[in-house]
Amino acid sequence: MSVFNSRTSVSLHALNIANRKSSAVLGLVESLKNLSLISPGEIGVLAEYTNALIAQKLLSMGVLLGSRIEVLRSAPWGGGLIIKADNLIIALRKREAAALLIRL
Amino acid sequence: MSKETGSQVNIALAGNPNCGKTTLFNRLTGLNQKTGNFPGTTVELKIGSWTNNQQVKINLLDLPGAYSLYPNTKDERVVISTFLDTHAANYPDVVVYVADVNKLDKHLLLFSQLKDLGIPILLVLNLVDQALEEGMKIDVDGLSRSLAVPIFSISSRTGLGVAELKEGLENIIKELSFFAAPIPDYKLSSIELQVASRIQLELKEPGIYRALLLAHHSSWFYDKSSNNSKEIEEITNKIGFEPLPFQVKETMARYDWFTPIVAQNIKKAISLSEKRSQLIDRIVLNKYLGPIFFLGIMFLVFQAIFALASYPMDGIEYLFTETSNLLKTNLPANKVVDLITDGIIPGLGGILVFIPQIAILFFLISILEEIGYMARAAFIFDKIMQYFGLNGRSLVALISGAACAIPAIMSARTIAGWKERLVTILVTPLISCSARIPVYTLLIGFAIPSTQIGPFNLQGIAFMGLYILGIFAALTTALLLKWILKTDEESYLMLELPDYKKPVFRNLYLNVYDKVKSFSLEAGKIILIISVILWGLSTYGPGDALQKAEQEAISIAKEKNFNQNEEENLIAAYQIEASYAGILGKTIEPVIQPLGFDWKIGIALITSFAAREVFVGTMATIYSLGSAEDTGGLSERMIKEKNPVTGERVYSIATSLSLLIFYVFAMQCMSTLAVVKRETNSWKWPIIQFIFMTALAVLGSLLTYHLFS
Repeated sequence: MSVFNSRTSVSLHALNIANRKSSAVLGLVESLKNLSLISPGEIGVLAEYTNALIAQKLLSMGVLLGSRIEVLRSAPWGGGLIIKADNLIIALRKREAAALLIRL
Repeated sequence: MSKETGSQVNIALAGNPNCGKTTLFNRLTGLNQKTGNFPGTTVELKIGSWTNNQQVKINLLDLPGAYSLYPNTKDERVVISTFLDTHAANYPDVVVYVADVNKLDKHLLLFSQLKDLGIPILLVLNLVDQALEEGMKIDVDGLSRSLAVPIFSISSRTGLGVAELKEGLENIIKELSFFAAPIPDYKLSSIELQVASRIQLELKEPGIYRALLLAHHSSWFYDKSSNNSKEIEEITNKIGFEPLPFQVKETMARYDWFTPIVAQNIKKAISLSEKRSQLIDRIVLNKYLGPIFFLGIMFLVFQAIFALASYPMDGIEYLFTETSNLLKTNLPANKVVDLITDGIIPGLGGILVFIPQIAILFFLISILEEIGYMARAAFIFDKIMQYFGLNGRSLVALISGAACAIPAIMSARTIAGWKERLVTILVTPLISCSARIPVYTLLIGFAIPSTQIGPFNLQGIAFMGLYILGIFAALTTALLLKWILKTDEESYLMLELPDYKKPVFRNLYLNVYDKVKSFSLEAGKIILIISVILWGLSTYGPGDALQKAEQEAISIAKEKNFNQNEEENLIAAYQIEASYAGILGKTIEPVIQPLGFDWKIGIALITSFAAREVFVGTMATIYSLGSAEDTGGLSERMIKEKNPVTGERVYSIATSLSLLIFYVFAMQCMSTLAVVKRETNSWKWPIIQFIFMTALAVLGSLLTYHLFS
C-alpha cells in the first residue's frame, strides 16, 4: 500500500472540498501546525491529513477537513490528548494527532 | 409477494457507537432476547424477537456500533459481514438505522453506505425530546425528502415515538416486495466502476456498490477455501485498484452529500449535555485527579460488592441448607434421596450463593459503561497500557474480567490492533473473575483470621491482595508477550468520548439479568452433571472395599473409645477414601502433594478443571458425604476437618494459601478457552494460554506452600 499516493489524494481532496485553492496556490502551507504540537486551549481548522489510514478512520468518525478543532486537554504520563472536533470529543494518541495539520 | 403468515423477517439495528441503539433494542425486545452466532458462527450477537398480529415472526438483530463499512475493528467487520453474506440465515430484510439527532451531521456516513446496498432502510432520529427541549429545530419532512428515506423521531430513553416506529416497521414489512434496488447515491469513479462491474459479472453480484465493497474486503471476507477472493484479487491487480485512497475519497464524497442536507433541515442550539460533560471532564480527566478518581471508584466498587452481597448470600445459603435438611428428615432414606440431598442440592447451593456478588459487580460495571465513564478511563490509562503492550480499551476488558472473562474477551473486539487485541485476550483470564469469588471466600474463611485493623477487615485485605496479585500477573504476562510477539502493524486509540448520560435502568437490568442467567445456567449445568458423577464415584467403590473400610473404621473407633458421633464420622471418612473418588484423588495425590494438597483437594481440582466454581460444589458434596452431622455451612465443616487419627487440622494455613494461589493463576474454565478459540480463530492461543496459566499456578502454589509450611 502506498501511503504516499493516498496522502496525495487526501490533500488534493482537501483543496477541492474546503475551497482553499487560493492558499495552496499561494504556497501558504507553512501556516499549518501539527496537532500534536498544539497546546490545550488553542483552536484551529483541520486542513490536511498526512496519513491515509488515520484519515480514513477519523473521517468516518466525522473529523472532516474544515472541521473546527480545539485541543481540550492532554492525558497524564505524557499520553495522548483530547480534542473537540466540531461537536465530537475524541481521544487521540500523540502519534495519531501528528497526522493532522491544523490551520490556526 | 408480501410476507405470509408464519414467515420470518430479519431486521438489523445499525448505527454509530453511542447512538442509543442498544437502549432502543432493549425497549423493543425486553426479555425476549438471546445471544446467537452470526454470521459464519464466529461472532456472537444479540437477537430479540416478537410475533406481529399477521403471525410474522420479527427477528431484531443488534449489530455492534460502527462508523462505516470500511472496518478498523473486529466489531465493525461484523457489520459489513452481516450485509455482504447474502446467503446467511440471518441476512437482514430491513435495516433500522439509529442516529443521535444531536450529532446527525456526523452519524449519516454508515447510513448512506447501507442505503446504497439496496436493503429497505429506515432512519430513526434518537434523543429528539432532549434536542427539542434545548431549542433545536428539526424539519423531519425536509430531511426525509432529501435523504429519500422514511424517518421516525424517537427517544429510546423515554420511549417517545417507539410505538410509531414499531407500526412503521409493520408497514414496511407488508410492502417488502415493492422495494426496488436503488442506483447508489455515491457516484463511483471510473476505476471503481471498472472493478465493480467486473466483479458484478464474474460473481453474478446484482448490486454495483456491493461489488465494490467486495473489492475492498475480499482479502479477509472469504474463507481460505473460496475461489472468490482470488478472482477479485486478479481483477483489482489488473486494474490497479488500491482500496485505501478510494475509501477516503468515498467517505468524503458521502459527507459532501449529506452535510448540506443536515445543515438545511436542522438548526442546532447549544447542547446542554455537551456543556455539562465538559465540566465533569475537568475533574474526571484532569491529569492529576483523573487517575485518583479512577482508583477511588474501583475501591468503592469492590467494597460495595462485599458489603451489599452478604445478606442475600446468607439467605441463599440458609435456604439450601434448610431444603436439604427438610428433605432428609421427610423422605425415606435411599440412594436417590441421598443423591439429591448430598449431591445436587449442596452442589448447586455452593454456586448459587455467589449470584449476589456477580450481579452487583455486573451492575456497577454496567453503570460505569452506561454513563460514559469507561471510554474516559480507557483514555487516561492508554499510555500505561501501551507500556504493557495493551490498549486503553484493554482496561475495559480487564475490569469486566473481574466479573467474567467471557464478555471481557469479547469486548476486546473494539481494539483495532491485532497484537494489542491478542495480548488483551490472553491476559484477561488472569484477572480474578467472579467464579473465583466462591473459592476465595471459602479458603480465606479459614486461612485468614477476621481481625479488624483500623476500619479494615484482615480477610477483606487478603481478598484485595488476591485481586491485586491477579492484576499483577496479567500485566507482567502482557509485558512478556509484548516482547515475544512481533508485529509491523500500527495500533490506534482514536476513541470517541460520549457525552455523560444518566444510566437507563432497563439497560442495566437486562445486562445483569443476561449475565446472571448465563452464569447460573452454564455453571448450573456443569455442576449438576459433575455433582451426579461425583456422588456416584464417592458412594461406590471397587468390590467390597466400602464394607471393609467400614469394618476397619469400627474397629479403630472401638480401640480409641470414640463416641457414636465420632465413630460415624470416622466411618464416613474411611468409606470416601475407599470409594472410586478416593482412589482417583489418591492417584494424583503424589503429584499434588508438593503443593500441599491432599487427595480430597485432588478430587476437587479434577472436577473444577471445566469450571473453577465447581471446586466449592465438589467440596460441598465430598463433605456432606464425609460427615454424619449435616448442620453448618461448608467452611465450618472444613475448619473442623481433622485427621481422624492424629487430630491435626487437614487444612493448614500453608495448604489454604497454596490453594488460593493456585486458583488465582490456573486456567480452569472451558468456556473461556472456547471463547478464546473463537475470537482468535485458532486453537494455538487457547492451548498456549492453558499451558502457561497452569504452569504459573503450579509454580506459584509450590512456592507458597514451601514459604508458609
